Amino acid sequence: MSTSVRETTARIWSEVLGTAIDEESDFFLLGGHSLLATQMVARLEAALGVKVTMREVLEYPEFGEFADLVAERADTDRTTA
Amino acid sequence: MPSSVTGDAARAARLCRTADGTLTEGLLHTAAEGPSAVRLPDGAAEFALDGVPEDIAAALAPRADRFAAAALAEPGRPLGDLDLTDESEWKLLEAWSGEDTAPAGEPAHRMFADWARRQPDAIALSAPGTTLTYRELLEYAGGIARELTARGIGPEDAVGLLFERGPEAVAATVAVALAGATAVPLDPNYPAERLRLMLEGPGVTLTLTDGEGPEPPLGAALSVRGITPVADPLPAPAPDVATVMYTSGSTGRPKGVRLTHRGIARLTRDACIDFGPGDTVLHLAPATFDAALLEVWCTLARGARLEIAPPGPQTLTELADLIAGRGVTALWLTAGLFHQLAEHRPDAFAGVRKLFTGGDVVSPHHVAAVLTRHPALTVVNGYGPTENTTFTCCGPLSEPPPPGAATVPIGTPVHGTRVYVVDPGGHPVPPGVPGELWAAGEGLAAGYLGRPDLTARAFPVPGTGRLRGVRCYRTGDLARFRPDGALEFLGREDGQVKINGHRVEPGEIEQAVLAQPGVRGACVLVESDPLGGKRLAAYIEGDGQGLAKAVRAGLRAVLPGYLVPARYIVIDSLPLTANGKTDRNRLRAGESEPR
Repeated sequence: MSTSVRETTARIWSEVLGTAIDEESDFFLLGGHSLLATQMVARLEAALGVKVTMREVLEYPEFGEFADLVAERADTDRTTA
Repeated sequence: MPSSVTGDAARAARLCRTADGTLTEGLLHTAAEGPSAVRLPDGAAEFALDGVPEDIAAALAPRADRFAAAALAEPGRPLGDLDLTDESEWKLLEAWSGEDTAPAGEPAHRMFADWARRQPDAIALSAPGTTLTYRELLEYAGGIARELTARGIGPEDAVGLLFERGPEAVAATVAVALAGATAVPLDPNYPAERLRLMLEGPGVTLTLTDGEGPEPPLGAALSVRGITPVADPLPAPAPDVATVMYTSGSTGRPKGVRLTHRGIARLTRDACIDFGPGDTVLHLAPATFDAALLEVWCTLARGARLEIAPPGPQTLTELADLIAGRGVTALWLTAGLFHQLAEHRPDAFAGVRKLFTGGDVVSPHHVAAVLTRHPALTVVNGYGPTENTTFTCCGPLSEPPPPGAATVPIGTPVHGTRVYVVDPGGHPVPPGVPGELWAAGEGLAAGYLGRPDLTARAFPVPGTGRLRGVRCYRTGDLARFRPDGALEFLGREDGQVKINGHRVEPGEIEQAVLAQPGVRGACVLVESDPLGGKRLAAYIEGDGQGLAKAVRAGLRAVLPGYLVPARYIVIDSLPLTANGKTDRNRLRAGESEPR
């Protein structure tokens, strides 16, 4: 299940950045800025129901660690729901 | 075809026929040939207006005749000095240009103090966990002002404001005004080096803080926490300069714009910015951004409530919840954010009656979408450079723009403001003709801090022509009057760009990139992002895997966030033009993708 969360997250990154994404991809080196980050977070919430703050996007700019956070939160949301 | 005019009129007309051959371009170009290089020839010759459309040639001929007659009447006069408008056109332009004869009224902080006496228990500001009434805010600010005075701060002494967004920041802003001092808003997220530059220019010796954030890199700090309020404080005499706001400068140093109390006060008297008791206005703009002047002062000077957004950037969900949940009735959103919110959370505007947006080109599509959904809402396209204090023009729309509308007009001048559309010689162009937008009136900044050269260039007082003796600000923006007298924004004259409402000079960023270790050459370009917005891309000549990351980290240590590029491309060598300059077109075309 967490694979698909990761794939969805990668797809959204790829859409808002306009480039292919791997684990080391850095949101703020590949073209991401605050409005794209806002957009990425909004799409993530719509697609997965996972809420991420803007501060967390700044704290985890690399795809690998960001996707871990999203996956973890998606799991938590399911168990607490 | 061919239309033809003879003699000197034809000479003028020929000068006009350039670029794509249109009348408007042509007339602008005529003046651009000046100011002194081009003189009318004495010999009469005949030139065919080939390539000029029939209707334009017909319109051009009489104007060219008048132009040529004026030139011949004073042959020694530079062409760029000649007036292109006749008396009836000028009358119309004058009527459209607005009113600058506003009475010099009370400054905004005195209006706030008046409200505090009239409605002491009304809520002045609220934030998560805090509410202050008008009386409480005035007395708190009065206490801070007394501390400032006790430390020797007097009229026009510059005082730093180093706060995250919040009630303390607003109280400190009011306090500086009450003390008669000049506010220098800072952002605790800016690098220390940038803060130092911002403090150094105006000679700040004391900075107000909330005692939690970083210390100012220069001068002393004074925390506003735990300061004893003063009952019924008396505002000190208000000097000229209220605040210093910084904009990006092409030379690598930010430019400090000295804004006046009169400039701010005129906004509080504008009919379109009609906040009042019962309104809740959102405070979302960073204090360093001139939109914050609108949010804070137009709210407190008009008896409304200021709802302060939590510090830091908000997600669309957080923002929508804040607007709806806290009962916001009026707000400013930078165009990019407005477009996103309109798309993702249009429901957020259900309780809003006035939405100001701008800072960049506003999309008619998004305006139409929110107005269709919320018929009681008015969307205002607010236009203006910092140098004319937040707004120069406002274009209110309560009906969706017609389908297919390409632009949203920037409207008409705000209270106490005049606008002119001029040619490169500084002469008003005929109605409907594009030209540079110049502003005049109460909103004009006192000038740039410590830069008399820049000030003189940007704030000319024409010695001749229709605008003789009128102090103006050259916005560098291209605009034209529509037939209804509303202004239409047409873009920039130079390479300056706006990103997310912030003015950006790529040259300033290039200098900072070049200063990073391992960088041999740099070029910073503005490009479209995949979602149709704009972003900065840094092309870096250098080697090594980690260079992009290192450069970004280095830039974050010297530049505010909005000047830090979003995309980094490390290349072996920057492509050059035949003249040895960086070939921006080849970079744009993607010929130098990363290895």
